[in-house]
Amino acid sequence: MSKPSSPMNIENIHQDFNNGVLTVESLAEGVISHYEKNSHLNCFIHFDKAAILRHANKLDIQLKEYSHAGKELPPLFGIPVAIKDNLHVQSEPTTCGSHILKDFTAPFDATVVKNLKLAGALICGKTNMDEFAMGGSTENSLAGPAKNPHNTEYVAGGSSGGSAICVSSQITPVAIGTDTGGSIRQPASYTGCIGFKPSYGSVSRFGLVAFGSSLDQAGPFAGNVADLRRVFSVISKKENPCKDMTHQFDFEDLLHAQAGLKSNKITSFEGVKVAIPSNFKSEAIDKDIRENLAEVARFLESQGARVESISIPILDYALAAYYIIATAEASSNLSRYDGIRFGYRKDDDSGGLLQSYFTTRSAGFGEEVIRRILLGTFVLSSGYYDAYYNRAMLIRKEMEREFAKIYAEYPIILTPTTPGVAFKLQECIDDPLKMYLNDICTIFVNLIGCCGVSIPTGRDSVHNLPIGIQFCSKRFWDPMLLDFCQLFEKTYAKAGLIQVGAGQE
Amino acid sequence: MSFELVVGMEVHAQLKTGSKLFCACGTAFASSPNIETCPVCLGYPGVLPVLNRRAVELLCKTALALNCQINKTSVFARKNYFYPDLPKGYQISQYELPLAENGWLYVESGPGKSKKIRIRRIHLEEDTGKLLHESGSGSLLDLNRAGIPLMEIVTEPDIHSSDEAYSYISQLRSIFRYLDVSDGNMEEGNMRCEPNISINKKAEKTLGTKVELKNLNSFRSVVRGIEYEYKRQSNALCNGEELYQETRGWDEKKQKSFVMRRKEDAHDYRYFPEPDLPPLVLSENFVAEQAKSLPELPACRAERFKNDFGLSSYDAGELTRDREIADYFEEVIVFAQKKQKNCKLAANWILNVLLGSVKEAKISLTNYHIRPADLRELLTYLEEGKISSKIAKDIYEKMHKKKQKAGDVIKAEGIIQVSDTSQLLDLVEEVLCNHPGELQKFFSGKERVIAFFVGQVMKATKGKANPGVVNKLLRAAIEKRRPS
Repeated sequence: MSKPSSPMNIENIHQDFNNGVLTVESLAEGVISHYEKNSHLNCFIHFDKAAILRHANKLDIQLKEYSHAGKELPPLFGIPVAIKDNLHVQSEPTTCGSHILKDFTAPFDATVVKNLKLAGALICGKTNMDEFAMGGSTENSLAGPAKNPHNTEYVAGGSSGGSAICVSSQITPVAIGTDTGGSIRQPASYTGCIGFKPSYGSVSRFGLVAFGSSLDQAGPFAGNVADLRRVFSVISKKENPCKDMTHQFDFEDLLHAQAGLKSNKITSFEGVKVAIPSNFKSEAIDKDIRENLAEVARFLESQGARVESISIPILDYALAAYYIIATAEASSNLSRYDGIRFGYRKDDDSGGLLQSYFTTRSAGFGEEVIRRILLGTFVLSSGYYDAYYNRAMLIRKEMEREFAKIYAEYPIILTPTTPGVAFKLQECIDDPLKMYLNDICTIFVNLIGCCGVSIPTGRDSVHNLPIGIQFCSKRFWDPMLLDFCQLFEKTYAKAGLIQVGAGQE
Repeated sequence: MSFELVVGMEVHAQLKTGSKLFCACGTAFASSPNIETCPVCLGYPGVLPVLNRRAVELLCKTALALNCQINKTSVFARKNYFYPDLPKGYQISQYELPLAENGWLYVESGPGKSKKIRIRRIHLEEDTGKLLHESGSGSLLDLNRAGIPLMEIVTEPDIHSSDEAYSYISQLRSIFRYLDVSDGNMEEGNMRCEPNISINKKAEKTLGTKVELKNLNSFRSVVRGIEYEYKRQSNALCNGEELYQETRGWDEKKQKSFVMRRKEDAHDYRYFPEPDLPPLVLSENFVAEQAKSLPELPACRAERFKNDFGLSSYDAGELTRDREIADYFEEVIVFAQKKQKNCKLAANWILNVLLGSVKEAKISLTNYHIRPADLRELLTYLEEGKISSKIAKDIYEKMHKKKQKAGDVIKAEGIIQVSDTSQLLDLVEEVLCNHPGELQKFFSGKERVIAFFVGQVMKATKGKANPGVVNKLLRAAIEKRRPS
């Protein structure tokens, strides 16, 4: 039993299973050996070889039954999926990259994970991330920094850096990350794979450790759009009874809703209107990336799409609004980490209750997390709430209205995913604002709850590092967006997974 | 100097749902600490709240009974502060847009006077856990209570006496029990009252510095606490001392209040809308269903008792305080055909005899063995003059202690009251003949001697004589003997 056919994708793996030329065990062994060869990339916080192999063996027994009965395999049967360490996998550690949860064991499966297991997936480890999903480089982690597979002196991006690495270096064909301000799309762009942030409310957040409750969504990384789509349809399934009141639709619902729409099925680019916010054509974006974007725009036009540049003034406020809202929600969401019911506690009862809180939380949280908690507390505090939080919420409402008008005319918005390619390790670590500025292209998507995909479209000329562009669509138009991306991937030569250079398996 | 007392009342009542407000854990009394818990109410990482529909129904019903306007859209909010009994570090409550607003309740504000107390708002929130402070060895945390649904009812500062406060909370409790939305029991902790107390010089427009009083565990403490605060604040102002806006605790043992928290140390709750819960939108239908399911409320029922049954305000109020008692009463008088004196009789017996024995038996009225039909049987004998009220009381004792039926006791002991005048006339004559001295006393003005004669006749009949008839016969016989 050997390696799966290349490129490693779900269709090929299932074909190999069905043809009897591959077992889950050998696939798992491949994952393990590939990871071990690339362990210096530091993409996992938790990776239990024995448990993975045990599970693989169980799946092989099922595989025999399926082939014997001639039954179709469940959609993700035997597919290795790496899970970001802020999503619960029952009985395994969930650290969120933080010391304060270093010994925490997940009490239940996140709905996303439950859905993956029901579809037959092989869960492979918990991936490295920025602490509590706060960061853009996967450097703020109790497990140490993760590294970009294309050049290990550079960051893999964040906060879902570990998951991006898994797919980018083909350790696993798919992985799950979470995206609050760009944390799936940005690392996808930096590492040269495809990342998707689904519409807010299309994937349950139950079991996703909250950072920014109104912004967080879990989503897939993959090497191709078909796999992305398949994983999304599995993870978005609704749970009964309901465990997340903000989970409004699943993939089936969305498909059903869009079945009646005339303009939803994208089989060609002819007549499709695409908007590029002029904000992202400025010098704030690297020259190579601007050119890459222009090339994509030209390609689309050549295929009959109508690509137009539009001015969206309110986008200038997106970053500020985001950092107010996200940190406000985070300051509240992270209050539960006090060492009293679970998690790290710095045993020092001598100073009383208040001192105990101070000591435990100061020791357990990293610098960036503390920074954001303080900022979030400030913007909600008496006397400042109106000037900051309330104003940011008003901006958000205004943005929703503005984009509703835009999406009414343009089903697709095209932007670069990031203003630059991956930066060097430690480069932004002392400059949080510099780090935050990397989010300018992705952040509006979370603020208005719409969907966005980052697809690799080439490399930059200076460092030869991957470039990604972002396609977005209206909230709950995910199936249509995925259709569009699938077509783009098929027709644009440079679109698709950027294979990591020679010398790696 | 005399001051006017101004009180606004905050009441928290636990709603009688089967499960907690945001998770499926049970709400019934738990035998050990921390067994009715789950990751959601423990505030573990990765959990989310799911709203309990029944809690919304119960609150809606209560709000309608209190004449509130229901906000078809209401919003949940996070109230942020750190304390071990608050697992998430925030309480999910409602802030700017509560479920209900602008209601009212009439309370007694003096004999025969009633006053409207305006209800500012009613909202839903989750309860905290319980902390037990052990001296020396630290504090113990029990989270069984964390997440239980609470209804918070806040009034305008319309209450101006401790009696009005008592009337308010007591009526509220009645309503809770009528609607079966809460047990309303302060001692058990499922109803908590926190008065906000300030004083004004009479006719002053602006409100004085207010003090919030906590830790009151009975209706009586509420009254005493308010009276204490009035005195304390009045004395302070008379002595030229400053009053501080603060939260004070009530010390039941010392019957005093003490400072818990000053305004400067007050929490900044940093309220913001709860992102994990969409706004709660109630349909017309939903509200209409809750309205339909409302029973006749205490105030209305009391009015009906006054008008239809001729009861006094006091009796009507006492009988309608608890729905159980009112139901019991109406069953007892069902054959009274609105004969007001029979209704009055039934009211007296229930209020002055039955309820006392129910309390003594430490049982609920619903489980008490003397059912309305049994009491009716007894009262029928009384109404028809077949027994005296003293005998009736004796029979009742037997019904209560020995679980006998009235009819059986009467038959067994042959104690039908003697009202037969011919029988009694002989006795009357006999008694008067035997006591010439007393008769003389009567004629010389001591009218009270007649009681002695009645007693003698009663003794001769072993208490079976109808005292009313005896009295009439005696007077007639005495008059016949009056010296001209």
